[in-house]
Amino acid sequence: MRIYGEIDDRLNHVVSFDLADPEDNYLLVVHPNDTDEWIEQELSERLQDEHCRGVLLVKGVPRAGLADEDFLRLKKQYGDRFHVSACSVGSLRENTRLTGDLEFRFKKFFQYVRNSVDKIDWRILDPQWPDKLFSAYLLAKVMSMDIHGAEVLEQQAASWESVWEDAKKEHMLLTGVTLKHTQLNIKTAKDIASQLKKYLESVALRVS
Amino acid sequence: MLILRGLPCEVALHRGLLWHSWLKNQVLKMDSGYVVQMHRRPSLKEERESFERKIQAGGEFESNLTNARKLVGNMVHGFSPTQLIESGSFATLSAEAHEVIKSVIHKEYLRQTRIEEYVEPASDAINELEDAYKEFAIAWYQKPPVSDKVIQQCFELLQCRARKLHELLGRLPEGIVLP
Repeated sequence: MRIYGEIDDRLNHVVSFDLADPEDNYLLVVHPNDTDEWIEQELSERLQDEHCRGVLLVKGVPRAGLADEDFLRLKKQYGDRFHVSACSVGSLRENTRLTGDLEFRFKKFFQYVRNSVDKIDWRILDPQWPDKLFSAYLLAKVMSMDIHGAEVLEQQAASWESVWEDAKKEHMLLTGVTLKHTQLNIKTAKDIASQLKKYLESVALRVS
Repeated sequence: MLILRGLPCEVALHRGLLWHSWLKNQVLKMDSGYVVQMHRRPSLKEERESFERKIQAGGEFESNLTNARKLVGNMVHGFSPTQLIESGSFATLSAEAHEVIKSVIHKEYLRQTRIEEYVEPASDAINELEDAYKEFAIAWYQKPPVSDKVIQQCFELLQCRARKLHELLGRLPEGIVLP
């Protein structure tokens, strides 16, 4: 499958966009200036082309600024040929620019699309459940519930510090807001577990 | 607590198959009057043969009973979030920290789901269903054939026992539970 881009240079280091070929199936990656307007004016028309096997919207805000209910409604309306990146992908000058785990996921996704013929599995790009947030939630939950567990984990903070840093970043990219606390410790654990749980509950609603 | 639907969970898959495909679709939805007709009327030969493939010794019904027992044996750990702790994110953690997280999270999962309380009733329900199945199979294959009433009563007892197990399996989570 080919990959076409109507987007600036924010994905340049994870994909090379192709020139149009009317005979081949393709994925269209778009950075809409106004998401609602683009969806209203362009989406349906773009998907009328049977070679267009998927439209992916990417923006510097989570879900390109679409509310959960709008995203679900559009998924229902357009099926598996439509997707919006769950995470923000900012331009190269912004702190939400592609890095780390998300960069790797985008790379893997585009490689997968190149080798696909027809259907696109968006779960490669956006796993249903955010792995890093899970891990941070489990850490926070243990620290907030069990004194012995909290002490053991605090003593070994260096061994999970990267998990916590990744989770903070993942939360920012998925929700557009930072976690209430920058440090995870006995004092902040309860608050953090509660904030992460709230987000995971919203994921559960989408998945069901 | 959160149910992590969509994450791979073998026991949830088995629970779904047993609850929906077997108990609901193959047992509870079946009309006992129709079962009597299959037993008696030669014109329903094909339906009877298909039904007998399920209830014969070593058939689908027996293998579902075995799968149900496996599910009950595995369910306490199968729905536990401790399996998430084995994932890559925690690879840098010491064995002690791993154990602490697993132990605290598993205890909280047990407290919130009370899943251990279902083990014995579910095992009993499977045993009772097996007894009813054996009784029904004996009646079905008996020569000379038993009366319609006996077939109907045996099948209705089978359904009654299946309903009990169906209700119990329906109370289990549909995926890994996050406390």
